[in-house]
Amino acid sequence: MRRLAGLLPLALLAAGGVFAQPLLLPPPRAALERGRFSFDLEPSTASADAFVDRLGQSQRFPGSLRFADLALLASWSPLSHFALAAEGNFRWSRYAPDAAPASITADGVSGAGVLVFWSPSARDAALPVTFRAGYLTAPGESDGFLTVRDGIDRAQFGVHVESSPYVSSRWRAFFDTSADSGFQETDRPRFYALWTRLEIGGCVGTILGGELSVLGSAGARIASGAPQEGLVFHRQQARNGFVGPVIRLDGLNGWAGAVTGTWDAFAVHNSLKGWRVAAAIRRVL
Amino acid sequence: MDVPASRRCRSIAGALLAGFLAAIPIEAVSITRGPYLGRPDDVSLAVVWLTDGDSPSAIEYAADDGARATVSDPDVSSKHVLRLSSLIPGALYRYRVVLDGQPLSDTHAFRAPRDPADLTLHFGVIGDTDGVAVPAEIAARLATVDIDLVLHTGDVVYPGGEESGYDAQYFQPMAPLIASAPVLPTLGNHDILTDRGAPYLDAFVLPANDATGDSRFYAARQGDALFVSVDVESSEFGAGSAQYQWLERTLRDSDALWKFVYLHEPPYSSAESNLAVRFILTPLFESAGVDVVFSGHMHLYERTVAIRNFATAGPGIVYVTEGGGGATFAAFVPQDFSAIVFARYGYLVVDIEGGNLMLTAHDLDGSVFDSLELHKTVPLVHRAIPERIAPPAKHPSAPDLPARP
Repeated sequence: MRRLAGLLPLALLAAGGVFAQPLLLPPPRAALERGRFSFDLEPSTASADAFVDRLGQSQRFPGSLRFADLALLASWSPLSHFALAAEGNFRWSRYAPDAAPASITADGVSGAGVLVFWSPSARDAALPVTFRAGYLTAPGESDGFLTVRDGIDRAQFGVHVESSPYVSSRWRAFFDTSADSGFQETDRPRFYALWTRLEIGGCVGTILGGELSVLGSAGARIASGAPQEGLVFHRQQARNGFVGPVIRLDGLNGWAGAVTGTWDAFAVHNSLKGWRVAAAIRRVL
Repeated sequence: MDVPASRRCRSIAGALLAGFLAAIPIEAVSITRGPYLGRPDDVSLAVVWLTDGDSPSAIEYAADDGARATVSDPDVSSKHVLRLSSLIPGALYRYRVVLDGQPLSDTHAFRAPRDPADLTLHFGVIGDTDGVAVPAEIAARLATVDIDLVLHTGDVVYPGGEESGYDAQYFQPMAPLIASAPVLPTLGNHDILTDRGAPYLDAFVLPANDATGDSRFYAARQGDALFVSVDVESSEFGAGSAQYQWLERTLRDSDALWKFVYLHEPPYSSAESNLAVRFILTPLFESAGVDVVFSGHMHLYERTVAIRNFATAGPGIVYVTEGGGGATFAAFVPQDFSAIVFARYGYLVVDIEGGNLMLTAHDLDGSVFDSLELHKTVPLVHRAIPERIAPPAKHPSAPDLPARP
């Protein structure tokens, strides 16, 4: 069975999901074989109940703050172990305060980027590794309120490691980490973000010829500020930790999918706090 | 009943000692801070000063119409806080600190809190008072203006609100102003860096809120206006928090014609907005009929157009940032909600006559570079003749005070 490996683009969306989490599906290793194409579609929705300030005080919103994101990713492998990719993101935001007569919304393209992937690992390696590097842009931050762009162009470097499906074990594990560094810093502190996520679980069976895995995930993020959330609260360090389950279905004749739900569970500081649900589907040609 | 001889001797010795001690003159003390005014509630003012030694506290004060009084506290201390109650609402008073009947301070003047039916009100707004020279110039300018009180939009002492910085950076440069008008501040992010704002809370005499019992956030009524200080630095302000519920209740229950909120970080700023404040508090401000929100934090002056429901169309709240108290100017990019934004040092003066409000923004030289007029219809109930509180009786031993400077 073919198995996912390597992470592709945009572990952190250029303008990011509200909780700045990576795309669910790393590119299938087949997409790193010469001449292959891969297309990802990942819709997600998130809700923030509160903003946790710099002192760790939770400031609850008097209303509902909702986000919906759609990420698109296309990759092509001109060489073996190597792929080029482009991605784009669309965001829709809505805030409905209890005391206000109407809600407000904002939507638009939240960012785009180009990335390259390189996986030096052999196809049957026990712990295949994929490296990525990219340039992501999110121009045109305006006032920042419900904006869909944070206005920060950034470089991104990341590593993805996962347990190989070729090792005869029912255990599955995924690890991903990335670092972002901003280019625009004329009137704000230099932007950086470090992000990591670990998933551990097991294969619970097969459906329609594909492997069904159930995993628990936990991750954390630290950044020089909160604008990567598309909401400029403070230009001070922001961080949060999240947990949640992930269900993965891989290897359906070039199709793959995943579903996850996560919530901010620890170390939330100068950041939104809430939950996020995402689903993803991939087609490899 | 017979008293034993030994007890009689002890009593006599005790009486002699007491008499001897009473005859010793209190060592000369001088004022090291103040006097300055506090505003503990809506009908009183407090006079505060520190001395370099322990002494009793006494104030002589007199209304311009001649009523004179003395208030004193025989307990000795180096920190003195005397509350002046039963003042004639809106009347001008002169006062001085005295010790053993001798003046310990110059004579200063203040205006007593106005009652709710008084349709006239004047106040100043300052913020982010960093350094010495600029705050001193602002204080000197504002001291020449007839104002009832001063709002301070936070960051009183840099860099961290240390107690050791209050005299040099605040009380000394602001002396001419704070002796004649109470300053109603709000907590800034710098103010809370020392013991979560303990020196700030110790320095200012402010109303206590009935939610937490302290003065981190509070409200004050002056004339037909309500002033509400919101703490967005050290207190929770989210929905359901004690402050949010108090704010909701305080704004809703007030019948003041004018409602002003002041908090440190601006929800609308061309430099950097505090969007948590915008998300959480501005809908509440709008639903409660707040007219103007004053902020600091950004070291510049900015006035927005009227904003309602996060949009700039139609009537709404005007957000004014007054952070030009001496700190390094902030960089900014003018936003669509901004009517004027300008990096300058200065202060605001707000004059209210019934339903007419005039806000003027001043440079350090006193010149006006921006103004705003707001108009409201004054309900008939606001025109009722107030029942004046009886003036205090003349104190038989109070000497005439020097004329108001």
